[in-house]
Amino acid sequence: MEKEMICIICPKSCKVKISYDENKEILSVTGNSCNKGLAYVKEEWTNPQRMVTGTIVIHNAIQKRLPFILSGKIPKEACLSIMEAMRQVEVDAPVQMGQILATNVAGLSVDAVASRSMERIE
Amino acid sequence: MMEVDLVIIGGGSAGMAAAIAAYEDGCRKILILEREQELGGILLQCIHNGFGLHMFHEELAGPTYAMRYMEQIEKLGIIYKLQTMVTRLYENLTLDYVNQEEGYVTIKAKSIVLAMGCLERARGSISIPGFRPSGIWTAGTAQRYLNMEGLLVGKNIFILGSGDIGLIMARRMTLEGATVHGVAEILPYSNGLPRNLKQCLEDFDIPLFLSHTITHIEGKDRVKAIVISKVDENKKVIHGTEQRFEVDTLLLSVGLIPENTLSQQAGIILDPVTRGPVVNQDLETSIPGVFACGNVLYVHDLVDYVSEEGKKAGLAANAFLRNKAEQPVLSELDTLITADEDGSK
Repeated sequence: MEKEMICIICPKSCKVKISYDENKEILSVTGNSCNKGLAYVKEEWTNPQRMVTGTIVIHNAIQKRLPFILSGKIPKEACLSIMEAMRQVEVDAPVQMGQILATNVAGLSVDAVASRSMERIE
Repeated sequence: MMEVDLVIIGGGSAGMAAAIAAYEDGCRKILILEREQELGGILLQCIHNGFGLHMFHEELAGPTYAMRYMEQIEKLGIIYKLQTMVTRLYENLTLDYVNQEEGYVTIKAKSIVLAMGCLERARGSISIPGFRPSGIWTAGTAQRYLNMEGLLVGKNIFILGSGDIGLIMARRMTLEGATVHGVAEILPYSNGLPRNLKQCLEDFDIPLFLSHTITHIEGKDRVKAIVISKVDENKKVIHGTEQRFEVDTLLLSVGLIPENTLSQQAGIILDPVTRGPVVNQDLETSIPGVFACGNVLYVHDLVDYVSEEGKKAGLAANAFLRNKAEQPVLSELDTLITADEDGSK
């Protein structure tokens, strides 16, 4: 049996073909142009993972929201629980890029990290 | 009148890369003019990840990518003015800008890099029939409201156009609790990246209607519903294919246009296809000493390419300045020629 998949690792968006047996075991993968793509397909087949980004409230800063990114990917279906948990987090400027804003977010063993710095303004 | 060697109009990805490249090549009198309250440009509102694979070989969030350049500008001590809007560019390389502290100022540049970026096509440029209620936004404006101001522009959304910003916003608004009812694209294929179709629409079961367009907008004060219809291969609406969606918001992601109002006023020749300046191999426009890079030149797919082009423009501008300094000024040239002629007599 065969299935087509779009690789989401980079903007090239390779069209990948997976052939698999009746136990859903992957037999072969074609169409990917790199090893990252192969790893993505295998992961997507068994346990799809996604990166989540969002914003939180920041006080005394030049902007009203501070963007965050996760320290690692999380299971695809858990995206909304990350958002839910981060809605409760607020921070006071200054913040440094890479600063951890919340640890073990929604019990998913990832941290939320500031994706930029923001100075304090009074 | 203040005189600067190199004025860069716009402090986004293109402008910052140009400034850094010119500085590192030896140019010291650089001035970046930026209308926002900080450098960084549109990347600051692009909080999703996926930037920088070419430039840094890692996947960065938009603001992180911008920060790497912003920090470099600070480290080198390159001068910039914020909340400063260039209002007029002249053919002789003088320009007018306004800001709250200085008011209205005219300065003279020896060389200029245009890095104003692009703007979104709005409803006016695609003529959608129907009423004109509130609740119709370009995707980028909604993105700015959401990611920088923390404001969600609607709860039930429909998106027209399958450009990447529209797709990214479909996912973003879903994550923030809105319901995205669908994305309509007039072409039989999407012009967004396939990976965005996968991770922004498919992942959240948002339907994509190819060969469809909006044929009616309902609502007097606020959008109440929109109607989409199928189109044939000539983009003509097929009657009887109408589908109605009760939504409060319509986002438009129908293309970007290089922002060249200043260039046009200065008389710079534009290309009717890209709508950016016509440039030579050194990114020099029809006015000698004026260079263009990034989305003001043509709309790029990836910011990495914008940064590369910015660097090229910065180096070209500095090479222009160097050549100018080495060349004898015109009056000296005249004497040289006269002397030559005299000698041959």
